[in-house]
Amino acid sequence: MLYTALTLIGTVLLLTFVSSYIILRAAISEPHWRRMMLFFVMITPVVSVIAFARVLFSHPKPIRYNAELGRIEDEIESERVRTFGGKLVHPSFSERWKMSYFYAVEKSAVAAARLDPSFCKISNFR
Amino acid sequence: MQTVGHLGWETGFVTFLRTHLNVVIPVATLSAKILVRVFSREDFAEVMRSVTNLPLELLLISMSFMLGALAGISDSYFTRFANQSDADLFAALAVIVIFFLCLITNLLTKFLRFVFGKLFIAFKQYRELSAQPTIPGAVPDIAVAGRILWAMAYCMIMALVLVLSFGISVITLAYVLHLIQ
Repeated sequence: MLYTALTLIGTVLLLTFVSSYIILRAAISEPHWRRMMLFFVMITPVVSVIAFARVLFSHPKPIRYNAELGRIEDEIESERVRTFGGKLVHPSFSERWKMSYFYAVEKSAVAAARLDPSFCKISNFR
Repeated sequence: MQTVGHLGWETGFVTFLRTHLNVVIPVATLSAKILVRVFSREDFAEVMRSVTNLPLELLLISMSFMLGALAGISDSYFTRFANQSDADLFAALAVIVIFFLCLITNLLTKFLRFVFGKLFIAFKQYRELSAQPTIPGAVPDIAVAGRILWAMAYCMIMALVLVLSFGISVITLAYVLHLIQ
């Protein structure tokens, strides 16, 4: 059973890495950037398992939203639509990031206000 | 009767193929797809389109095996059930479930192509911005680094989608092979 599970995981990872290499080869012409992106692809399964475990057992801090990075993503998306056709995807990755960040901030503010009601007055004043 | 000389290693190789069909079918399909496209001298964008369809094709292979089991090709499949009617009903349900998995995998493949488009454009814009002359001593703009950061994020999303779609198809194929072998 364990042997079968390990061979299946190995097969899935092998297929993922080979397919990723072909996709990266089609998308990126610079070999050094391609190698670097392939490295990120290879560490993603391990990193995602660790991240999932962290989400289960602790409350990780949300990554602060950056408006400039959000604008860059919008530029990429609009050029993608011009080049490949199709519709603008709404909400985009940056909008999802923004919404989840503000939701996390709001949630922590509500939790802080429950612990200390004076926090509400301070936040309103600000 | 004609006899063929034995090399010695082929018996072990054939035994490996028989006992590891759940690994051999996906890997052989991927290798064949790549080799056919490379020998026909197609560009990598075409190879990429073909490879992203692989999870769906593996599910279609699984569905074919189940339809074969329903048709009575595999004897060991029927020995798992109390009677013929149960075996037929299970095979029909399995085909329906695989069909729904095909729909999910198709959505994932579409999303993968969408992420590929974003990755392609992120590097196109990066090349255009890098080619522009810069003023010496000026503060580096986030526009160039931002493209690389988003490309990294797209690569990670792409890897997760690939793991998910290959996970669905390879596990389904392994289960179907377990049923019919």
